[in-house]
Amino acid sequence: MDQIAWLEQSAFATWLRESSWALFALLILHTLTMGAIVGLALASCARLFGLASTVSLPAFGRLTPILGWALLAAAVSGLLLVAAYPAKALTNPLFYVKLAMATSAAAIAWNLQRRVFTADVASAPSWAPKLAALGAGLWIATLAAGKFLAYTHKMLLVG
Amino acid sequence: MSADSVAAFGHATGIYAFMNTAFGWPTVEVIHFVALSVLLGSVGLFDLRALGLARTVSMRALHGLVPFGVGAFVLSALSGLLFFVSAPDQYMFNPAFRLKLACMGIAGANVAVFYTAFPRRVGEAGTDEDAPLPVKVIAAISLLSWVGVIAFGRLITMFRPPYHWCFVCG
Repeated sequence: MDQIAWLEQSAFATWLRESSWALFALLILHTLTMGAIVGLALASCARLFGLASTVSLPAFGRLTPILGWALLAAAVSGLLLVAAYPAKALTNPLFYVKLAMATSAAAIAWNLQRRVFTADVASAPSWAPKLAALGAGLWIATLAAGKFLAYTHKMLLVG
Repeated sequence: MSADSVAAFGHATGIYAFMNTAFGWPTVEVIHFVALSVLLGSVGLFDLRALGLARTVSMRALHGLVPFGVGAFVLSALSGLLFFVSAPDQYMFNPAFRLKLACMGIAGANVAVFYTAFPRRVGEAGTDEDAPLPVKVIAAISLLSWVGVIAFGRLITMFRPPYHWCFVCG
C-alpha cells in the first residue's frame, strides 16, 4: 500500500490528475483504441465465420496490423491511467481480471494473425473461427470489466 | 422538449428506475460501447480501405460489413436514449454532448451524400484499385465524424455540472 500511496502522490501522477487536458486525452485515446480493438476482433471473427468471404485471408490480414498499433496505444494509455489513480485500480480484484482477459485476448489475436491471416493458407483451419469467437468474447468482457471498474472500486486515496 | 418532460417520461416508463439499479447504468454503457466498436470495425474499416489502407481488399467485398455498422448504430442510439432519458439535464446543457450530436449529424448527412451521389462508385474500387477522390473525401469525413462521436461522448463527464458550461442556456 505504501508503494501505491507513493505513486499516487508522485509529481507525475498529480500532474496527470490535475492537468486540464492530460487525463481526458488519455481517456479518449484509451476509449478509441479499445473500440478499434473490439471492432477489429469482431470483424476478424465475422470473416472467419464466412462473412465477406471474397476477401482472401492474406488480404484481410493486411487490415489487422491496425490491431497491433491499437493494442500498443491502449496498453500505454491504460498504464498511464492506472498511474493517475493507482489505488483505485490496484486494490480492485476486477482490475486483475480485466488484465488477465486482455492478455489472453491479445495472445489469441497474435496467434490468429500468425497462423491464419499471414500464414498463406487458402482457407481457415477448423479451429480458427472458434478461437476468433473466444478472442472477441474476451475483448468484449475486457471492455465490460473496464466499464464496471468505475462502479466497483473500494479505495480512492485522492478525491 | 424540456428536461422535466423528458425526465417525467423516464420515470413513467420505468427507464429511470432500471438505469438506477446497481448494474443498470454500467450494463447499458457496455452495450453502447460495444455497438460503437462494431461501427468502428465495419464502417471504420470500409473508410480506411477507401483511404488507401490494404488495397488488396476490394471495397465491394468489405461493403458486406456495413449493414452490421447500421445495426450497431441503431443499437448505440437506442442505448444512448436510455442515458438521455434517465438524466436529461446532464446531457441537454452539456457542450460535449451537443458536439457529439453535431458529429452524428455530419456522419448521417455524409452517408446520405455517399449513397445518393455515388451509388455505383461503392464497388468501383476492386482489388488493388484506388477509390475515386470524392469517395476518399467522404470516407475521411466519415472516419473523423465517428471518432468525434466517441471522443465527445467520453468528454461528457468532463463538463459536469453541465449548467456551468452551457453558454446558450441564458
